[in-house]
Amino acid sequence: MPDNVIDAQGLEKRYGTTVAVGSVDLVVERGRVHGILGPNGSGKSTTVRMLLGLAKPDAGRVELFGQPISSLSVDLLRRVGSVVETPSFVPYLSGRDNLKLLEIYTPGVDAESIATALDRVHLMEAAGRRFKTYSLGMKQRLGIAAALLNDPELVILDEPTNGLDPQGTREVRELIPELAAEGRTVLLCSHLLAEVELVCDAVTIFQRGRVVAHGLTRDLIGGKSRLEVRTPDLDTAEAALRTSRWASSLHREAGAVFIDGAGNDGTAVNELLVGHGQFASVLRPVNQSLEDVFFELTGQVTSDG
Amino acid sequence: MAAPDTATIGGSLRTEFRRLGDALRAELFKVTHRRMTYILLGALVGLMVLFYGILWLRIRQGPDRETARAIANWLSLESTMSFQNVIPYGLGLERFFATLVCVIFAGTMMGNEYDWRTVGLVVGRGVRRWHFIFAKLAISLLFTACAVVVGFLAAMAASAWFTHLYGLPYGPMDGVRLWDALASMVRLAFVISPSVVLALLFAVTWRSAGQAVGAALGIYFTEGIFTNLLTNARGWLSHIPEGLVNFNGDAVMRANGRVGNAGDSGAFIFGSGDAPLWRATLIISIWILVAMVLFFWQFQHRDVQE
Repeated sequence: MPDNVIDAQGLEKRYGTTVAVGSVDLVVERGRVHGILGPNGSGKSTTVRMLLGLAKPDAGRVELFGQPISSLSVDLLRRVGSVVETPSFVPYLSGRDNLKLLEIYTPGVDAESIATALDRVHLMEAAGRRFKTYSLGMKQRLGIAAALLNDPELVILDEPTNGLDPQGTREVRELIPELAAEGRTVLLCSHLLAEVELVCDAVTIFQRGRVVAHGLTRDLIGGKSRLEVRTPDLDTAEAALRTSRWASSLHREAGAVFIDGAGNDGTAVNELLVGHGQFASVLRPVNQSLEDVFFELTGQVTSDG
Repeated sequence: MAAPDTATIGGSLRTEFRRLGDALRAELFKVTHRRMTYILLGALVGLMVLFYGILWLRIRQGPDRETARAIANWLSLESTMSFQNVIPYGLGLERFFATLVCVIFAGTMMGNEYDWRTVGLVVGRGVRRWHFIFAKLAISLLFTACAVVVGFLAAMAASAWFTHLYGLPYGPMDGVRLWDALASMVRLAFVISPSVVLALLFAVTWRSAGQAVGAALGIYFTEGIFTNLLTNARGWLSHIPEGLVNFNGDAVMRANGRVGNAGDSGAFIFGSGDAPLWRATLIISIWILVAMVLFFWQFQHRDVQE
């Protein structure tokens, strides 16, 4: 089985002269909870639509489960469960009948599975009510139930906590690692930084239709974290560091030297200091949050643009 | 977790038919659970009965003048409403109302999928696009057939009541007449079909139910007006309607039979088209085919969500 569940290369989508998505590469490894992070209008949902065959890319290619997606291979999508933007269902049908309808389109699910899916998202009591009477949170829950109905290998959730109350949000955040533990791959699109940081082990950051960063969450955060250095003789230590590759990333603040982006370089910095007869009293990474990384990256693009 | 279905990935013919059947069942599930389906059929019955009722009230008033011509017209109008003439007259009357109802049904059935964004829900689950719209087309045509039958039953009921009231002839009740009734209903469904397919096409073009219904009905009405104007013109202008749906629809409907002198109401119902039946059938078939090809092509090649 291929290691990459999603492999999209050079994806482009234009609407007239507007570039919605420009040259996006997205690789999602099997079994990961992968986050797509970006502000509203950054191209996240358009990318998801291209992955699901709802919009055709102007350039680039999409592979799902190692096979290219095209009009002839839409069967691949039967292995995917998705919620794209606000879940949409037939308004005059009840929640249960909407799931029954999906079961008719893609058979293989029995009435018990529908009941299980509804129960998993706590919608059993409202299952007989028409969809148009549902609150936004209930719609989201039904969307998640529909996504999980056909026991998918890949689950794509686009802003799944949108409209949910704190309890519902917490349940969804707990559900995502459960899905991963069941061996599913999860692609989570969100503009909620804390949500992505909490549940995703890999992340791709979008800005204005382009990918500005991608990788494992811990690497992204770690790679951007600062290293705090304190020694009894800070001037000598700083002078020693000025001769190193970190010279341009140094700054002094509140009785310590900070090295930007060197959060993972503690050992090498320690070796350098010892080589100059300096012994650190404090040498620790000061982690940034994903929020710090996000604003640094997207802010940088904005000022460049 | 669902294992990769290698048999279906191969896309055998049997799998294709099964999935096409699934799409048809799903579409049927939607329309049978939709209140609007029954409201539209109810409205058609109501309109048919109402129209017969209005004509009955008119007939009750007697001839408008005591001239031989006015009396003949009045007697003729009375005759058109008899059960004996229910096939040409009832179906001719139904043509207008059934077109309205069927266009609304088809336009909303397809357009609402965009309005409600449910088209993405289905296509995003691996349902082939052409299965989805084939089911839409098939159910629209099935509804058209149902509407024709239901409307005709309403016309028969109204006409039978009127015939009983005035002691008019019912006409023969044999197999030949039954066959004639069936063939006439098929002709009516055929004449309505271009507007239905056009409503589906416009729904995909504009991704909206309202615009689809508006445009399809707009064309139906304006084409009728232009046809009437151009038929009275001279030279090449008078030949333009021969290539349009309305004129040829009139010609097909004439095969259902004529009702003597049906007076003013007859002129309204039977129209002006008088082309040979084979040519009228051919031209309408071409229009249906063109609209269907564009409908399928557009849905197959355009984004379902922007």
